[in-house]
Amino acid sequence: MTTLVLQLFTLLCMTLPHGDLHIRIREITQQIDAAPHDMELRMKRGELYLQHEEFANAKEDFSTCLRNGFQNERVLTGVSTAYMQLMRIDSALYYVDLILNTAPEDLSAHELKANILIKGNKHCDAADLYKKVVTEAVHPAPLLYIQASLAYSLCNEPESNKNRIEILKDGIFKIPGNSVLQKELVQLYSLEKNYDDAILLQTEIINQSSFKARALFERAQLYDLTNQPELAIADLTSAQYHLANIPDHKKVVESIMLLKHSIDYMLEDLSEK
Amino acid sequence: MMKAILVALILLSAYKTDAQLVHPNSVWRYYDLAQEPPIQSGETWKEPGYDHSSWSSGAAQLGYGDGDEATAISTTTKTGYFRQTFIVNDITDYSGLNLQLTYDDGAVVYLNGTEVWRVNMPAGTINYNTYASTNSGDNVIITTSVANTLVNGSNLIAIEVHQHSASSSDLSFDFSITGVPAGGAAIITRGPYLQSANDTSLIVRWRTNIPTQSIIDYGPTTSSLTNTVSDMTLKTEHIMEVNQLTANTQYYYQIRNTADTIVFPSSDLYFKTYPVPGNAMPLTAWILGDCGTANNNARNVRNAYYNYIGTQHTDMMLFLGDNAYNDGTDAEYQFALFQNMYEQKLKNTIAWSCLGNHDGHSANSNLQTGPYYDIFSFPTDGECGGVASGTEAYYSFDYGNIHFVVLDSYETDRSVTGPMHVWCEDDLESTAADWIIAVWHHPAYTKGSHDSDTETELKQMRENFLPLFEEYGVDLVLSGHSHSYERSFLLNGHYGLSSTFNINTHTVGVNGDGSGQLDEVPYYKAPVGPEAGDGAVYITTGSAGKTTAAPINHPAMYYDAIALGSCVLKINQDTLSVIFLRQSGAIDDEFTLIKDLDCVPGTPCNDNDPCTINDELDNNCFCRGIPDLRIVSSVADAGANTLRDAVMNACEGDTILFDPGINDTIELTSMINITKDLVILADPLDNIVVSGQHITRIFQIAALKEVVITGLTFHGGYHASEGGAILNDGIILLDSTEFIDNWQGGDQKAWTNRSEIRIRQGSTYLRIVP
Repeated sequence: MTTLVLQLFTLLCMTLPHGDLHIRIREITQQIDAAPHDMELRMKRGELYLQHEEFANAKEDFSTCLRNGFQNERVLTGVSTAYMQLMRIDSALYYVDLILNTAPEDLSAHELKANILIKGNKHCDAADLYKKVVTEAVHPAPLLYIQASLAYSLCNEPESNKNRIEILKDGIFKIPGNSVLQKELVQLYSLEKNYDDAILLQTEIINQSSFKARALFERAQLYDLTNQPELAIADLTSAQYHLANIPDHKKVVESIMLLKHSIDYMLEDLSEK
Repeated sequence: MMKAILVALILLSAYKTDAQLVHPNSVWRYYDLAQEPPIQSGETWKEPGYDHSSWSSGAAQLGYGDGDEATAISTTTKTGYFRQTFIVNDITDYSGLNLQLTYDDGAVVYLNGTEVWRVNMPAGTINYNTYASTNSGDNVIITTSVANTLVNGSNLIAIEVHQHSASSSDLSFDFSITGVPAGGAAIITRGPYLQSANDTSLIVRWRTNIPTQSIIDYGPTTSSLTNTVSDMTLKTEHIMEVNQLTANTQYYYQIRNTADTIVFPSSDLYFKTYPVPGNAMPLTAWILGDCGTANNNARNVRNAYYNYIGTQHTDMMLFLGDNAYNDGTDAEYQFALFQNMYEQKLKNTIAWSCLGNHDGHSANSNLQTGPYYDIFSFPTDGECGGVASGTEAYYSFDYGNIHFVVLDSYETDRSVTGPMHVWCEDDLESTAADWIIAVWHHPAYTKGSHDSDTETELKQMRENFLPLFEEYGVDLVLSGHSHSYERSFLLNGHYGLSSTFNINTHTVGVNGDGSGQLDEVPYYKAPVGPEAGDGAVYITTGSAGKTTAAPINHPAMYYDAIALGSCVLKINQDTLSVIFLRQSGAIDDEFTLIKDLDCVPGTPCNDNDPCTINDELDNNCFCRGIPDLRIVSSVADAGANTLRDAVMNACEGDTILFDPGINDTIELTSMINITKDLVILADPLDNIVVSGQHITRIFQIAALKEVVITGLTFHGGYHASEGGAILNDGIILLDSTEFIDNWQGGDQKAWTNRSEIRIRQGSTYLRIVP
């Protein structure tokens, strides 16, 4: 009997992939049954439905709130998010704009709107919005800059890469020493064949890095691309030195062994030339 | 954004500026021996000088009869007596006091020996037999305001709670005091708490009821606070960095403004810097997963740790997310962490955290806004070690030779191309630490109240981040989310569903598929060789505030339990250990992981096993020896180097050989008992004969023991009833042996077999005798 109960429980958990959310939804549904006109409860259940990825049910709850005159920022955010997930982009934009009409500086709403625009393939508008968000936010995370850069690249306008570079430079200015943004920008400079700036930024990465071997190897690749083999060889030699001085237990890490192999191979190749 | 609104709503109610002097649900001394407490040298129980050390103690609510008591007192008493002392450093901070009483049926409250409040009790003198005026109903809560009659230093609150009648079935009690700040007086409403420590600096945070200056005086003793950092900006949220400190050093401190001391120095008000990165120093970390219930469950888990750790310093509190239910609002944080919860530790222990889903309800990780990001100060620029992440959502820090990586498994992109993954790889590549510990909320392996086979966040963390962490040799991964305790074997390379877990292929190292417990064999990680760096233990420990029923049957787990508790992590040099400490104080589970990065395989060692020789470190730095060889070099019946001596001193599984010089008969005067698995190996060409001289049987083999005998000749074995040369209750393999002239009574007989004898000539079995 115990085994059967356990199996049933396991089966239940397998079919409800969001932990205890279904329990909370069930509890709040019972409360709604007892107080069907309580729109606060509907709003809370809508938010739980969003977390449970039941977007149609979420939309229904938020819409009920709106039909009954219960309109606030949480409800509008919820209904907009639900419509976005349901790929009803126009409706999602309509409701997020209602928030922005009354709170035009609400950065969370702008971020949501940018996400909606991306889903609706309006990449240029999304990029501009992300730019607004990262410009005005006090502590924007690196992800927002990456999203902005991605949106500009998808925007595919003549100025796209220039905009990408500007947004990433802004990110590096606001979040100094962030290697994720720096590497993204180095790649972009290389794509634009702006090797001078790429090398300059890569040098910054080397200077701030405590594990210099990879950054040196990457700069050597840039030197190689710009036909500066002596500088490339110098970087590779320096990278070998750094690798030789890391703790033994790090030398056996697969990616570091691979790096060492790549450095050795490139150095051999350049020396032969 | 709905999170932002939640925050705004809650902030309004969070700014409750009274100072909590006696907390609800706090621990009281109580007397329940069905009489008034006896007078001591003229002092009654309600007076400050009375010694209540012999009274019982327990957390409120106290009482009996309703079933909701945190501490049940004796049902035989009609009146309960309760006492608690508390410290006030500056009584001028308060213009008055607010009292709150939970009672059933009547009570009298005394402050420093003077009655200040009488509730539902008759006028006149009160004694043990005085009944309450009326039946109060269950758990009535009542409040009042009284004048400030506090004294500087220790204050005593004493309360007697009375029944309404002899037949009343229940008694209830809880009590709290808040001080109403005097006009213009700054008092602490949150903290102090410590953040973002490294070897030379850390951050002290606190909140005050009114905007005021931030000044910290600190020094080596409570009476020598000779250093000061200050910020004269008026504010209620105080975030002060103290720097230019010495590594691994304890400093006492006090907090003040320009007018007054706000937090007075005391023996437990201190901060301690971290060791210099790379230096191996012992670590004690308290791990709290999903602790945010703000109730007695969390307090009981807390108390268990306090009892366990005693006065020993805790180097860090590591919160695994869901620190404040349900939405991580500021008000919820106040009661889940700061007020009547962990404040005694937070003021002298560095606190770190990862974001849980409930914290995430009111936080925005991309904008780093909301209570979670407002309350905590985590390193974003690599200032505590590691690579700069640029965000408090995920970050890393060092404690000596230990590197901690904290990830956001809820709100931040978990893909392998996302910024968190890219940063994480960079960070792991850069660290030279001996130990790597990863922390995030959604566990890679769980069958608790959440399921790592089906839930998106859990699957993505396992599939995307585990290969990366394993490549860089992560040792321990700590998560919460499921409200249970689940602890894995020493795992490597399992990224699939639980049904694909194979204990033979997904565990590594010495005893990787075992308990890892000290009384068996700890886990060992190899510093060199093909398994170098492989193996990590995964702990899901999300029951520091509540438990939830679940199957807890993930096959990667060595141990699991649905029980309230927290974990204690200790690392010292090459040894890491973790215990799961139940709220009861019992230690449910423990394991030890040994990783000696400096060891050189092949170095001689001592495995403490007398049965082995040539002990040396293997690739896992596990000390192993090879079984000792026993050489028979004497044909005497007994004594050194004889067959009898070799059998007696041999260890289980040993091999006994014969010196090539022996080619004579070993003449026994009594039987040799063999009570262990043995191999007795003679060269048939040496013609070694063992003789019972027709007076004794030669060998008796004990039950369940396996003995291999090669190349011996048994001669002259004798026993009157169970002959001739061998009496077997075990399993014997006879290879190239001869039996000559052995007897049972008057009959020739080679052996008496009561189990199994296998006879082999070379590689061919001639006979198996059942």
